[in-house]
Amino acid sequence: MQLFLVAVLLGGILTILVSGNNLSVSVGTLIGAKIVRRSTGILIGIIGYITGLIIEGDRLRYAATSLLPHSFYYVSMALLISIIAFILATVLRSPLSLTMVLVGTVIGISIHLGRIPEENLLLLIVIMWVASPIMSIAISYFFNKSMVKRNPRNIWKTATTLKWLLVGAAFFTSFTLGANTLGFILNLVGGGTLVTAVMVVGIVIGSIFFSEGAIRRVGEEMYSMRYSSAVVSLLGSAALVEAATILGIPLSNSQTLSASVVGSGLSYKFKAINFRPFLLIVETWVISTFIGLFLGYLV
Amino acid sequence: MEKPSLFKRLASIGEKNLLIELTVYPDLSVSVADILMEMMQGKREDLEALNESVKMKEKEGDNYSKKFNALVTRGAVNPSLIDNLLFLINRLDDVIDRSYYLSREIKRMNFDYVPRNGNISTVTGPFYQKFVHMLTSGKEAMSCVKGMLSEAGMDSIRDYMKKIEIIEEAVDDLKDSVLDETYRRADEMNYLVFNHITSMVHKIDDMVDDCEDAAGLILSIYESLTR
Repeated sequence: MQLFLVAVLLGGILTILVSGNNLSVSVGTLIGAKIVRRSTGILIGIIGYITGLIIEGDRLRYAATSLLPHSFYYVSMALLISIIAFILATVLRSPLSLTMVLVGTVIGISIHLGRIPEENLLLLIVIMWVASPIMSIAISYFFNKSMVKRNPRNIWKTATTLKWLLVGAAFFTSFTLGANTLGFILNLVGGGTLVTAVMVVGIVIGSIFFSEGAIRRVGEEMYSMRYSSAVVSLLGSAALVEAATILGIPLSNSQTLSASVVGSGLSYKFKAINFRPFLLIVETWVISTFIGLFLGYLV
Repeated sequence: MEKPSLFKRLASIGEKNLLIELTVYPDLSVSVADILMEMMQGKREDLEALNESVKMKEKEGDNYSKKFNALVTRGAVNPSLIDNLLFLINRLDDVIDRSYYLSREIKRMNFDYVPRNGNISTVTGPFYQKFVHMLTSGKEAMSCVKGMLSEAGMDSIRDYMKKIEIIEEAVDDLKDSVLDETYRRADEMNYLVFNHITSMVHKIDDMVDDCEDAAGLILSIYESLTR
């Protein structure tokens, strides 16, 4: 019982960190572009997270239970490692995906216990993690290119439509994050009403109190994008995360979004190609996964 | 300042209203151009009063600029549009500022200089006719800028843009012909008159260039909103 409570508490803390850190990904553009006020943006994010967690969170049950033997001790260790890795990455200003660290840790612990996780699932995760940034770049490249070509008839109607689409895309991104990353945490801790309730509280706390810095940072980068690019980037990456959720695969929202932003940028005729985002995606992939795997195996 | 509601933000009402409000500049510029034409074609005794009314309109333009700059920087405007909006306000105000320069120049030449050098108006007269022609084209360009600020259809906005470009080219040709003529007749005028004509023609050309710059900025703002 004590270990269960520790796991629930750590799950709650990780939920706070995930919610606060990833809110910028979903609603940062809305707030940065002054389409909605900060409070409205946070509310959209919170509702998206919670509905995603409750409606689709269960889809990650198979991945969570197959990757790690169900023991509250190991679950607590996996969550603790992810929290420490997140804090270290924040201090060292290193790019990190919490989803990837958590999955890496879980696999590392399993290997340490001599229990090789199911091969098909592992293969699917690797394929999805490698393919999703590439697909994300391709999707946003082609969609943005077609949007740029189109000639709007009425400026204000088009601008209004794009803004509504951006609100929808922000909600959908929050929804998929709630379903995927938070759903994975929920099922790792064992699911149930108590865990869900604690996570809902964590979502609210994280979104309100731990999102400001990330929103400012990511929002400032994203608001310089045109509305159509922001819509395409958000919808493209959220669609991929939703597809991963349907397949029951944990997938990093921030990584697919970074790739999507790169794809949108490449679609413009006149572009200054900055290779930093490409390197950041690879860096995040390697650092997050292997830190998790290494620490999980070590512990 | 009152914060706009979610609906107003989503409907881009802030940006739309701001651009419509900016039509005060083309209106002001057109009325100032009319005064300038009156100054060049009218009576000498009216010059001072007309110069005063241009001065008042220039002040009015400056006050609008202060108000609109505050609206852009403090309002619910997408930060990516702020720079272009501020440049646009600046360009539109520049047209009126240049008009005030022209007004003072016309007043100085015709009120303070010509009375002592009566026959010089026979030299400046043909040039003033061309300036009036250039200003009429400038008024047309300003009406197109107003159309761009208040229209919602991208096709008609592009048509206005093309029209402004054609006007700008025509005014550029007129400027060249005025300068050619000035150099051809340089022996008939002293340095003061030569300088008066060349500075006037450059300023009127700059006014039309400002219209073209403003049109380009408006198009860029619309493209940022829709693409």
